Amino acid sequence: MFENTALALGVLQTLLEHGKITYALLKDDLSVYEFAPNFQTFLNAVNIQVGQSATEIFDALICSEQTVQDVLSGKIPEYRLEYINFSSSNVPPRYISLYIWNYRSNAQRRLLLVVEDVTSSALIEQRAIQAHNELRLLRIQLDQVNARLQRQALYDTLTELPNRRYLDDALPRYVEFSKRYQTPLSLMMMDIDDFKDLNDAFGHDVGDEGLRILARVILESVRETDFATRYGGDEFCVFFPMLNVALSRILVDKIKKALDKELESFLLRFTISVGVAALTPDVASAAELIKLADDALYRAKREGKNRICISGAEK
Amino acid sequence: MTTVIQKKICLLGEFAVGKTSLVRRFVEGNFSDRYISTIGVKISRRVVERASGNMNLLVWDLAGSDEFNGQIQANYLRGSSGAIIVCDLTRRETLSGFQRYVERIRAIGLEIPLIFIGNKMDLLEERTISAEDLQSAAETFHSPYLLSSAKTGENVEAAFLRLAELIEVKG
Repeated sequence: MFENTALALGVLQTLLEHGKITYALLKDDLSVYEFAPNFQTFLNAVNIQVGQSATEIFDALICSEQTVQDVLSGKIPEYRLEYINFSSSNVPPRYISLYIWNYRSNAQRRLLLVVEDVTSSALIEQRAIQAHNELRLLRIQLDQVNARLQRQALYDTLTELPNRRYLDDALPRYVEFSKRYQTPLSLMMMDIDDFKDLNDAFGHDVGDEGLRILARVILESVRETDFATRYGGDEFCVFFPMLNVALSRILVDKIKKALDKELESFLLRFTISVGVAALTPDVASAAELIKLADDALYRAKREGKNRICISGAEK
Repeated sequence: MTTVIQKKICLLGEFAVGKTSLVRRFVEGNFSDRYISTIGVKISRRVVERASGNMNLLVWDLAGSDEFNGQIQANYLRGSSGAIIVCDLTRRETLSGFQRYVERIRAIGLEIPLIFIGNKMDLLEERTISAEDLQSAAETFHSPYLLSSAKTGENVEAAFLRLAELIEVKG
């Protein structure tokens, strides 16, 4: 606390002389009532007049009539605008902060406008924020690249299905879960009959489109909880958590029917062969489950293609 | 004599979404690739012609950094007649800030027209926010949206003029 008025005035004069701060008293219509001796030099302005509107001096005060009334009425304690870029285009950057407070003297309602030059702290803060934000942007870019790389590593670009690597990672965990909690799990291996001949006859573009169609049909036919992958070449593998062979067979039939319907509007016709296997207590691992489904698939091929064979249900 | 009315509008959005570049494109008609973080506020002016007379838009380009959120930013928003809320179409997380900015505007009692902008539409390959995503977010607040590019200038003028139109209609 200041001991006396003279001391307070001395402090204020020192502040003004050092050029970091200035003030003006405003009427409630924002016109200048009185201003400090350094007001004009501080703002690099000439001809500031008593009675002139402060909005002509500070763009920041335009459209602030209501806010000023709120300060006068005590609805808000102050109107404080920090770090206003006060530079014109051809000079070094300059930042000011504006504070408007209620000022009562001899019962007259006035506003005290204090202007502070905050250029040096603003520039320090600007550099710190700039460095911080650049780091954050780098981090975001790094995350995006990592996500892209991860997708490329785990998804097939042609069909956009997960690839074999993804399956190799996911399936063992589902197998472990099913064994531990004794829940059903079945798996289907599927490929396009005579895919090589199809490619040779119609070209790889058409073959690729056939793969995309089959992938789409699989995805549209299975449940969200099922897991469809492109195993490699024209082979697809889907596993069905919580489904036994009989139920998964229904989904496989659904895939075959949907494919036939889809191919009605396609350039060529092709069929698929499917092998299905269930996880039983005898099946030790994910690899063994895949092997069983694969064997069933080859049996479907041997028996004439375009059919579904169930592992363990040999004739 | 032509009447000139003065209206304050604010640009809000996460850091580095391109708010300063949008203002620069609108006010000065140019673009710089160099990223410089805004601190506090920079106020620019541009007069736009309206049927009812000229409108002097005072464009408040507010810092997007968290440091300037909260009470300080509330003071910056006071007296605004409209706001443009910007996201970066290549950074999905910038879309989720919309709600926060609208709440900040409403918290100080402002019921003003808003426009949502998805900026950097020129970066097609890197886009992670679709037009539908933006539309859905804007519809939540019953406000229009635009995809823009401060770099090419596409839809920048349109966004500011649309906001001026909405401000004029609101009166």
